[in-house]
Amino acid sequence: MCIGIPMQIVEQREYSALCRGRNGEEMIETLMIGPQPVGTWVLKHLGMARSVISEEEARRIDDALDAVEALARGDADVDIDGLFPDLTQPDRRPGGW
Amino acid sequence: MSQEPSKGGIEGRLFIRVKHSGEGSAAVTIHSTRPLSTPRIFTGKTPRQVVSTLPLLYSVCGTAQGCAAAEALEQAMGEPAHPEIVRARRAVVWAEIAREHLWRIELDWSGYLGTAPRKTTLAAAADFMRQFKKGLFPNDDIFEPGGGGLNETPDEALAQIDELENLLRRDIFLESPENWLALGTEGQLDYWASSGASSAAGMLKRVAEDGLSGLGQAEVSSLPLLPIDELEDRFRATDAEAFIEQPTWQGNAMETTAYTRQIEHPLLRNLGRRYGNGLKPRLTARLIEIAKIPGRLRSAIQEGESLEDPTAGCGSLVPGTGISQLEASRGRLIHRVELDEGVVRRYRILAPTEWNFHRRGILVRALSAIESQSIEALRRKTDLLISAIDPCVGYSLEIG
Repeated sequence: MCIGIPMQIVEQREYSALCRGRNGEEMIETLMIGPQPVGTWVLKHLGMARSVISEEEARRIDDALDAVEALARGDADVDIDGLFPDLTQPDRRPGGW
Repeated sequence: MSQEPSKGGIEGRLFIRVKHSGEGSAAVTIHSTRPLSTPRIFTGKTPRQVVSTLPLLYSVCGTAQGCAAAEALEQAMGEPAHPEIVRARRAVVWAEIAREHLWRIELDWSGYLGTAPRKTTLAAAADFMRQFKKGLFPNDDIFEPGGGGLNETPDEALAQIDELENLLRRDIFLESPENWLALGTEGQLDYWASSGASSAAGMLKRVAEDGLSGLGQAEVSSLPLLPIDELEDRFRATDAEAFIEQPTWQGNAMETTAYTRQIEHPLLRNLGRRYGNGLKPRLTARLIEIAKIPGRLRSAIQEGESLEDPTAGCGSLVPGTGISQLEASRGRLIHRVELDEGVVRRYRILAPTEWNFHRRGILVRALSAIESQSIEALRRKTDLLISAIDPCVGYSLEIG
């Protein structure tokens, strides 16, 4: 289901970039996001970088993907709890239009 | 961590095999390695933990996924969000649908035409979606269970709808989307496409010239809005996993796409008389859908009109359980959650690709009767149909 993979740009070319991610290095198209500095994190889907993401977002997605892979392997010891941040809950109220 | 190319890695992959008889396609099989058990990682998590991680994980349609999650969880908690929040969330989902359609038109259609996709269009589509969402939910808390903080004023969101309308006028329709929607006959559509001055116009023109307007006609019913009680039964049944993997409704494979959403539009009905649900009506449906989005978003924000009726698609039949269904870019997205003492006991997601790429579904049937003496031409036609039906994972195609 629509899973995107975080990748970090190692070398930017004209319309593509050599990127490194959880599955190693690969060339991905960067047409949709334009040229980006080396070190930028992007989200890859269907061989294309779809968006620029923060390092923190990349880490959180990779953590969740680690949990998915661990469960798929049947690894009962995976620390899924460590992958879910406890969030503070500010007061929310609907605004009005 | 090593990828498994034969399985498509963690993203999963569709493996489509078409047997060529010499005169065309003879037999079609489809096999998916999509990881459908992924939602198991949410077991034992709180609703807030789920909505903070799920949209990141399913980031491609992240807004639709996050919205479906928030609504299913709210139903399970017995605390539906304020109707204004629901309406605003659904508006952002439709903004995401606009972005996805624009990207597919610019990437896939220009790819078929052999022209370069316009980078400015791709970037503008992404920018619209981002800014529109920020305009409604400035604190980036759209999926907050119970409802995030809506902007006090819709001005920024309305300005972004104007931007989308300008983008569609400039790069897709070459006239206002509203005017384009007045086209009612094939002749009018062909006259519009004859300039070939955008990827959209060029694609419709080329498909007609190549004799592919009726490509892939097949009999498959449209997925209706599913009654919550019947859905709940399916999710509680012992074969629920099999239902998610190969879903059918009343024993039939069903289609859920932009085409089935727009099937009642007069222009599509006209095209349908000649081409059924073939390629030209399918491509046109995507254009009709995206042309309608600015007006629908404006009505939702200014006049409080619902983009969809969430009360019909979402609910809770058993305390602690919740179901949501909504329209995402590639079709109907369904989430079902069971809570136990405030944490998730079971989480299930049924995505549109499972219906459309079912082994007896629309793609397989559309591919089953393609005339083509050469393997190369058969491959080209097959690729066209796959991208028109639009899976949310990559695919490998084997013809021989």
